[in-house]
Amino acid sequence: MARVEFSNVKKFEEFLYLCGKCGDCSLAVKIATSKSPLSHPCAVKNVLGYEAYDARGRIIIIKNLLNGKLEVNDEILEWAYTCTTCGACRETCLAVEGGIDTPSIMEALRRDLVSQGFRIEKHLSILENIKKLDNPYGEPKEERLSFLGDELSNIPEKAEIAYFIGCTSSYRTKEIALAAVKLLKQLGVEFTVLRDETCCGSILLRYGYVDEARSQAERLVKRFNEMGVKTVIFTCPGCYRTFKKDYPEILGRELGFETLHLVEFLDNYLKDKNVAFEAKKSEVVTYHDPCHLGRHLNVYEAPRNIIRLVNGLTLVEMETIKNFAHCCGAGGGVKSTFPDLALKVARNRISEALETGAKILLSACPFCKLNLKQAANNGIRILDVAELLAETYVGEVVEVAPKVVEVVEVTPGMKLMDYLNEHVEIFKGLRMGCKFNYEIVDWKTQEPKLKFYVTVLESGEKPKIKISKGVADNPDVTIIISEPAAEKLVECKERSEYAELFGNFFNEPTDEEYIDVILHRSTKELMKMGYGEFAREAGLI
Amino acid sequence: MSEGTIEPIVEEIESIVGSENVSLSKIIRLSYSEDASPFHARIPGLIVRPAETLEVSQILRLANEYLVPVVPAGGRSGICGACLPRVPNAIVLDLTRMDNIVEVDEDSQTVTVQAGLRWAELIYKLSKLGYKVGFRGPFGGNAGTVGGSLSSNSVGCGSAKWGSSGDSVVSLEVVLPTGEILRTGSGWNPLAKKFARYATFNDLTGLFIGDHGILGVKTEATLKIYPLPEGRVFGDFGFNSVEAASKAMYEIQKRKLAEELVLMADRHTVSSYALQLAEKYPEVESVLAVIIEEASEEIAEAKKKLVERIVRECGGFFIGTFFSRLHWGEMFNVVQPLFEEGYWYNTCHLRPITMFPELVRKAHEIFKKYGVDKDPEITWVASALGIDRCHCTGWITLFLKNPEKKHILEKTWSDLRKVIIETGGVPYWAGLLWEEYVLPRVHYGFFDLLKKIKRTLDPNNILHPLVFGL
Repeated sequence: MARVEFSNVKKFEEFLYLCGKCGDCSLAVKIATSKSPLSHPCAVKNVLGYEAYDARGRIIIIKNLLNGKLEVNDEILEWAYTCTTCGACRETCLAVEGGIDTPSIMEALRRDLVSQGFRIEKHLSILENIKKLDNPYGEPKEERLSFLGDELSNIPEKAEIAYFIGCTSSYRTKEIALAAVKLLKQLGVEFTVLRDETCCGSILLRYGYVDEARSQAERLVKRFNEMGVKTVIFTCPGCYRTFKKDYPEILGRELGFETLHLVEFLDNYLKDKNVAFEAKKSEVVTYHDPCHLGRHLNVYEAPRNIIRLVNGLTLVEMETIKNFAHCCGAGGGVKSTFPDLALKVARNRISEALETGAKILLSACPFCKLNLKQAANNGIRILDVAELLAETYVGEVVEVAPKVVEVVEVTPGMKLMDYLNEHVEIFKGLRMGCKFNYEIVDWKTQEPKLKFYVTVLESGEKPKIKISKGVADNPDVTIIISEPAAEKLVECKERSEYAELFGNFFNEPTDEEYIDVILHRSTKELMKMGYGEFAREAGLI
Repeated sequence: MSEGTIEPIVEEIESIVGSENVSLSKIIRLSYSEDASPFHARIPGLIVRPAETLEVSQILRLANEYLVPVVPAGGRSGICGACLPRVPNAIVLDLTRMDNIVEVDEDSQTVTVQAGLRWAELIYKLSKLGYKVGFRGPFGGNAGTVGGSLSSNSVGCGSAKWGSSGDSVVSLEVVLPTGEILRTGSGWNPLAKKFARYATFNDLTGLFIGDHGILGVKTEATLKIYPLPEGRVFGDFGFNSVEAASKAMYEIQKRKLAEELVLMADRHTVSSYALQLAEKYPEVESVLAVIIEEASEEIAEAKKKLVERIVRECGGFFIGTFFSRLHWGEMFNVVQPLFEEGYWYNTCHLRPITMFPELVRKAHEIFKKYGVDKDPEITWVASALGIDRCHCTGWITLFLKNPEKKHILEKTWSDLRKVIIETGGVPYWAGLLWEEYVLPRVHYGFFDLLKKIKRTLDPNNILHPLVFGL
C-alpha cells in the first residue's frame, strides 16, 4: 500500500463535491423526455455493468482515494484506465456549467499515478516504441510513409497546407491516408506531408505521461513552424485534438498555424466549388461521431454536410448522435490496455448502426474505423468519410446556363433569414459565441422547411452576426417557428414589436401560429450567455 | 438480524447469474455505498446483478440458508438513503439489469415491466407505441427505477392528476424474503390477466409499496397506461403571497384540472430558477406553474379557462408559459442545474396544500435563526407539487456551497425536519433522512403490526435489516 499525492486530481475537488450523484451519467434516456438523442451515455458501463465504471461511481471512488479511505493498488491502477474519456457523461451532466468533467478528472488521476511510479506494464512498451521508433505500434520508423509509394514524390516538400497522417493511418488504416492524399490531389489542393513525421503524443497524454508528450509536441510544432505551414489538416481526430487542445496547454503557447480536420477543411473548401460525388449505387449510410472530433472539438455538422454531397446516398441517424453519441470504445487508451473491452463497446455501437438499416457505417477517425471494423465482423461496411469521398469523386462539373430562368419561391423561412440579417438589434444582449438554430416548419405537419442558425460574432447594441443555412455544431437553443408565424414576424418594425409577437406565439400558440423552443443548455447557463434579455422582453420568462 | 458471511455462497451465486454479474471487488462494492443522498452506507460485501425473477428467488433462498443480508437497489437516485445497506457484508442486488418491458396489454391498458426499468426509458418506449403512464416517475426519473419508486412511495411528474407511484400499480410480482414468488391483484389467478388491483382478496399490492424493500424484492410491476394526449396547455401565474398561490393550487387541485402543478413558494426560489423573472415582476412572491394534458385540445382549453378563472379569483395573474413548458419539456432535468448551488439536503414530505404556507413561514424563521437568509453559501429552494387530491409535497431543499459551514446546515436541516413533523407533515419515504424523526412518533399499534408482518415474511431478517429500526 502506498501513499499517493493527488495534486492533479485535487484541482477538481470543487466538482467532486458538487456531484449530486443523480446517476444521469450512465442511466439516463432523454429521447422522449427532453428531445435529446441520449440513451445510457456511458459506453463502458453499458458493457461492464457496475457502478464503478460510470462517472458517479468514479467520483465516489476518487473521493475515497482523496480522503484516504481507499489506497492505490493494482486494482485501482487498472480501473483508472477503463475510461475511454469519451466525455458522454460530461455532456449529460447538468450539475455545473458544461457538466462535471470526469474525463479530465480521470486523466488527472492517471497523471498523478504515473508521476508517482504506478505504471501499467503494457504502457511501458508503448512508451518505449514511441521513444525509439516514433510510433506506438513498434513498427519501423523508416517505413512510416512507405505506403505512399511513388505518390510521395508527387507531394511537394513545402506548402502552406500540411496533411498530418498520424501513426494509425501510417501503419494500420493506410487506406484512409491514401484516400485523403488522393482526394486532396483530385481537388487540386497543394499540400505537403512531413517526411519525418512522428507520433503526436496523444496516447502518452491519455496514459498520463505529460513530459514525454511535451517533447513530441515541441518537435512537431517546431517542424511545422520552420516549414512555414499555415494550416495542418488531420484525418485522425486523436492527433487533431492533441494539436488543437493539448499542445497549447502543455507548451504554454499558441501553435502559430491553424489546425483543421479534413471534414472541416472540405466542408469549407467545397462550398463554392461545383464538385460532384456519385455513389455507384443507392445506399443508406449512417455516421458515427468520433469522440475526439465531436464532443472534444464540437465538429458535428461538417462530416454530415459532406456526406450529403454524395449523390445516391441517404444519411440516416442512429439513436444516439452528436454530443450524445456512444463512444466506439477505442479511445482514452482503452484499445491498447483492454482490447476485449474496446471490442465489446464497439459491438454495441455496431448494433445501433445496424438498427438504422444502413449498409455503410461512416466515421472520420482511423481509430474508430479500426475498432468498429474488428467488431463488425463484416456485418456492415465500415468506411472513413475520406474514403467515401475519394471513392465517389466524379470531378468538377461545368455549369450549363439554364435555358429557362427558374422562379425560386421565397419561403417564409427565407424571408425570416433576410429579416434577421437586417434587424441584428434583435440579438442585442447575447454574448459573443452564442449559437442557435432556427427551424421553420410547416404548421400542419411540423416538418422543417428550412433550417438555419445564427452565430454571434460580436456583441453590442447592433451585434455582428452570421446566419448560415443548416444546423449549428453544439447549439445553445433551437427555435421552432411555424411558417405562418414567421410570415408575421417579418412584418415587425422594431425589436420590441418582434419580441412581443414572438412571446405571443410562444405563450398563446394557435394551431397555425406557434413558436417552440428547445433548450440545449440549462436555463442558468443560457442566462449567463445573455439569452435572458430577449426572453424577458418577449415575456417568455 | 442475519449475521452470516458471504464467501461460502459466492460460487453458488455465480452459478445462478454468471460470474460476470457478481463482484467482490473493493472498488466496485465501494461505488454502491452511496446514493443521491448525503448519507453513507456500510460497504456492501458483494454486488450481484440478476436479470430474472427466478435468479432473485434463488439468491434469496441461498441468503436465507447462509443468513446473509440482502439489500435490493434500483437506480440509486433516491435522496433519503433508502437503498443503502445498514449492516456490513450485505449482498446488494443491483436490479438495473432487469429493465425489460414484459408486456403491453392493450386489452386492459396496462404495461408490465421488470422492476429495474428506468422511468425515462419506460416513457420513451411507451411513447413509440402511442401510450403514456399516469405517474411518470420521480424528478430523478432518468435514473430512478419503477421498483425503486414503488419501494419508497415516490411522487413526482404527473402526481397532481395520478397520485403517487403506488397509485398507478395494478399488480406486482414480488420475491418474498424466503424465495417464494408472489403475484398480487388479479395476478393471483395464473389464468387471469393482470388487469385489476382490487380483486377477490385483500390488496396485497399495498403491503409492498413503500416497504423500502424489507418485505420482498419487487421484480415486476404492472402499471396503468393511457393513450398519448392530443391536448396540452401550459400556464405560469404570479401571486403576491404564498397564501394566495396555495389557495389557487388548492382550488385547481380540488377540481382535478391539472396533470402537474408546481408551486415556487418564495422570491428566493423564483430567483433561483430565473432571476430575470423575479426582476421583471418585483411584486411576485410565488409562481404557480400549471400543465394540463387531456385527450383532446377542446377539453384542455376548457380546463385552462377554469384554471385562469380560479387564478383571477385568488388574485393571481398570467406571466407566461416558460416555467411550465420548461418543467414539462425538460422532465427529469429540472433539479440537476441546482447542484451548482452546493450539495443538496432535502426535507421531502407530504402535507395538505392548505398547510403549506405555514411551513414556508416557519422555514423562513429557521433560516433567520441561523443566519441562512443572509448567507450566500447556504441557499434553499422552497416548492410544492400537487399530489392526488388536495395535498402536496413540501420541498424545502438546502444547498451547501461551502462544506466548512456544514455545522450551520446540519442545525437548519434538523430544525426543518422537526418542524415538518410537528406541523402535521408526513414524509412519503423514511430512509436515513427521516427515521430518527418519525420512528419515535409511530403509533404503537401500527409499528407492532409492521414488526409482526416483517417477522412472518422474513423470519431470518435477511432483507434490508435495520430499516425502520427492524
